[in-house]
Amino acid sequence: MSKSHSRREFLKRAALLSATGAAVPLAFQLSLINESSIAEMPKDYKALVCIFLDGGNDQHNTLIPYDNDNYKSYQRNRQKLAIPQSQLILPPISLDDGREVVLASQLEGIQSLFKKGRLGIIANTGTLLEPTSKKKLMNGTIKLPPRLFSHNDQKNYWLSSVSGSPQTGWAGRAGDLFLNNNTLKPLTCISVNGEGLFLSGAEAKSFSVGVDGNPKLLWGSDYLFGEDYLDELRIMMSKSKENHLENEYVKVTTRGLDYADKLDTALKSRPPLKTNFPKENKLADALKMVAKQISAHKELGNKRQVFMVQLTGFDSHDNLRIKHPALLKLLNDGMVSFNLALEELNLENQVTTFTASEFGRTLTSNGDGSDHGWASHHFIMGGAVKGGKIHGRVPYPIVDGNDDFGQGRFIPDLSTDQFFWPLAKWFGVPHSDRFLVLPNLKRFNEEALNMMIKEKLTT
Amino acid sequence: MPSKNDSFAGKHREPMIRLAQLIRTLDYRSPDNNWRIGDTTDSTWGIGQSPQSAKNVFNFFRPNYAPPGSEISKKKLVTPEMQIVTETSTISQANYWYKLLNEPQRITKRKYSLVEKGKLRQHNLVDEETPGLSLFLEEEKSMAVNPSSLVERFDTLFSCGQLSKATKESIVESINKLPIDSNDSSARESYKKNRVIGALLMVITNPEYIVLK
Repeated sequence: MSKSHSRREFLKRAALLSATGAAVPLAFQLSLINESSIAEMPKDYKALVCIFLDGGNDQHNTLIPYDNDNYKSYQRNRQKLAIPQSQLILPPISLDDGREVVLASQLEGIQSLFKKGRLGIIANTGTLLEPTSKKKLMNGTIKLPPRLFSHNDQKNYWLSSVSGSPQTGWAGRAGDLFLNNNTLKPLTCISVNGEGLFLSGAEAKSFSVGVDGNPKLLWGSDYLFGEDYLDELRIMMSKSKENHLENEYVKVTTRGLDYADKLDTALKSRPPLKTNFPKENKLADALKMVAKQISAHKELGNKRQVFMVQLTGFDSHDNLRIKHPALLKLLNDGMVSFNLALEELNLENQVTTFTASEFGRTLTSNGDGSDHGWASHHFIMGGAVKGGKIHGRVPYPIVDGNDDFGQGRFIPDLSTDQFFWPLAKWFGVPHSDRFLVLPNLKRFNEEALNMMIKEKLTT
Repeated sequence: MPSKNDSFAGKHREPMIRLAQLIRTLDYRSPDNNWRIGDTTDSTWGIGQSPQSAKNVFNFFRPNYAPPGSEISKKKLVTPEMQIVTETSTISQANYWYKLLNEPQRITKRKYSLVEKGKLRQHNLVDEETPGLSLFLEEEKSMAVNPSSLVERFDTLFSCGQLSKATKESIVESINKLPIDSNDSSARESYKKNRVIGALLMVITNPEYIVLK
């Protein structure tokens, strides 16, 4: 990428910042423009993988208080939702202040990755526009993300890390910086049953891949109608249009037509994965397809990729004690097999996986389930993460305390920006471009989470 | 509200709406009247949508969705139905329509026998297994020698006459190249069917049809 070209790209992106809905002062934009850095051409391969737990994961039954005092408090507040102590069978994790917590028994594989240092926990993270405390909330002196506790709005926030009606996601904005280093640009930001918003940048587009690969038009068969017909059908489906709705449809179709073959060829050139992925597990199906694409990264010629997969069903207003453990089991099995596949490929240090979810849930019970909350706990996995550690502070399981915004909806200590910045930095986003990717980061201590292993500078 | 000729006017017809239109417009039959079409949710072999199977309680699309980075979103207009338009579903829908037109019973497992009495062609139901859908396209096949009449018919029935002249001409040109003459009557029938399906597929995969103005 030539210097003048990169500078032009850079200015364009800086200008786009103001369209993200975040109020970026002009002086700030100008100061950015004075810096000339842009993501350097990377030599190695790296991928970020987001596992979105759709519906709002109940963090209280994911990481459970274990020491007697706090378990009692948990049990008192959760009532029928509390997991009986006898079912908490995994080794407890000690916190610095002497408390103990334990992962739900379905997360056995995740616990063992934690123990091996391959997986870390990020505690009490959520959507914030600025550092927030209960006192400031009560005074009403704080700006908050739009419509807390609302699925759509909070999901949009987690995917984009900006408020308003975001048009780009943070992974898409990170993808923008690396597009020019990738041979097959449309295969930079990939969704396997994920959400387009997360992966859309100014130029980067979300590309959708099916769990078994992508369909070819009429199965690539010119036997059905003859060669001319197949070509002419393709041409008609990919001809640009004046009507903008038609033209958007054409753009998506054209990407699908052009890249299904390339993806298929790259995937078929690789030996099949030996790792067994569990059956009847939609998350595992999607992660298997992600692993296959990662294994073909050389054939695809891409140095940087972001993937998003999704596990749905976490909105457990009812029947939580039945529904939630089953989902955790799917999550556990999916993540464990994905990690094994990356080890098989010898790429475990080059792929970092993290969970996200629109919100945590209330500590209090509604009788049969929990309701929409705010902060939650998340997992980070890979050879590059500081595993075996809980990063951040686990709040006490009490209602009406300093952490509670009502009914046990916990106020986040850490913002999504503080969580995402170390991931983006590891991915290779230059420090000078951090506000292009995460505009709200400037309101927070960006070094709050020391969750990635410092890399030796490679030459 | 933009006018019909405004370049921002229109509404993406959801795949399920297109499926219903296809089945209701053509002479599809359901022997047991249950209209079994199976689960069409999968976006790599189905159409990416199925009744009552949205992935969350907010149904298939968010009300304020517009394709990120598009001219539509820059104008702050919304196109909720486009949220399920993906690189996989756009292609797999074309394949699904082909299967549903060419051999619907292969999806729905049902057989008919053809009885020819002079000029009268009858399709009699022969088995009682889980009945699905069948389609014979007799009326359309009778128009196969004249592709432009076929295309006019499909444009009227499916796209409300909204296909452009250029698109219609391209389709007619393509279909004219497909064979039609044969001394063998079964080959002739299959040529006619191929022309009908070929023409209809080019209409219903065309964005001029997919976006209702």
